[in-house]
Amino acid sequence: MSEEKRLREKGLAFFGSITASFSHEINNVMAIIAELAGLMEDLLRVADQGHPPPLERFRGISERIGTQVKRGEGMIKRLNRFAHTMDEPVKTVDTTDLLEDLVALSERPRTRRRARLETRFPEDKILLVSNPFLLQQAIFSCMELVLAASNDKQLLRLILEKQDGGARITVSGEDPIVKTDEAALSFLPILMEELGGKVEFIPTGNGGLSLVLSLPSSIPGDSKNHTQ
Amino acid sequence: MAPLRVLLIDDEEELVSTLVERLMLRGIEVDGVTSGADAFGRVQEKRFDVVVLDMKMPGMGGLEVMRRIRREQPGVKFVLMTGRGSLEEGEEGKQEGASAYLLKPINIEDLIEKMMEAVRV
Repeated sequence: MSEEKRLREKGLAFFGSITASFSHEINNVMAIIAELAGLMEDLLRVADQGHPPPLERFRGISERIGTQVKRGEGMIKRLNRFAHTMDEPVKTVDTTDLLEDLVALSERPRTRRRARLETRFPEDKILLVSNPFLLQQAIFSCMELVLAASNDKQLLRLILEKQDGGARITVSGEDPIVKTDEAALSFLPILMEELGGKVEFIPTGNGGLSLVLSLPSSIPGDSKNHTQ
Repeated sequence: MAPLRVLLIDDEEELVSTLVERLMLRGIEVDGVTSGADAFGRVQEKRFDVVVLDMKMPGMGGLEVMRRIRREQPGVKFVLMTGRGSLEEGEEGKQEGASAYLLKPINIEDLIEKMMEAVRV
């Protein structure tokens, strides 16, 4: 399979995986709202039978619905931003914002493996002229690789730092590696090449895996290079 | 007639607490838990007629939870809940002996009907 075809197929698979798992989360929010509305109806039915309407319970349920609506709105905004990362192949990206969105979007795959996540992002913004979709795909692939390499319940670390005007993103797990996904490992360098960066695989002290992505301030050869 | 004893398992805490309230208003005895581990603890303490189980649980999958609960309480019936994109998990659950599966968001009357059908068989 050509590299271009592989990139396209892997990109579609990543897009599908994120939208499927996140829409499942949105469906859960809808299910909760439906049940809370149903509970209100149940209580009204009881009130129709001559019992005084439990106003305090209604107030509580209304607040609970409000909480879920806000939760759902936040999810839809993130999913929408994710979909828009495909609009332009190269644009100025706030790396922290991008990572925060990705952390939220990838919550389900992490919780399914009962992994904990520790993040360390710098206070100052790191702006890169890059491909936001491929960048998210590269970081997500690293997270998947680390999660799949070890047993459940591991601690996953995601660190963003400034490096030579660009950025350095480290994804690591401390638990010993039990298996590695060779196909995913071989694909990461291809993805990083598209981003003008590189990936290093560094074993951690106790047999875990650390993936370090080095990203330039802008993708080499891109016309936006000269306008930033 | 003794009330139906139901164990409800879903990792969404708010969904569990709301469904528990709604089922209790209908005279059903319900215990709600948010993980497979909590469910295993509960089935060791108490007998249930029906287990209502979300198939997409963090960690151990729904099928594994179902198998382990059945080992503890062989006669218990299962009604599964699944997302629109996971119909095959519901079908797989039925092949493993679940009485029925419902798509989320569920309709409470459908859930009660499926639970009643399950215990009648």
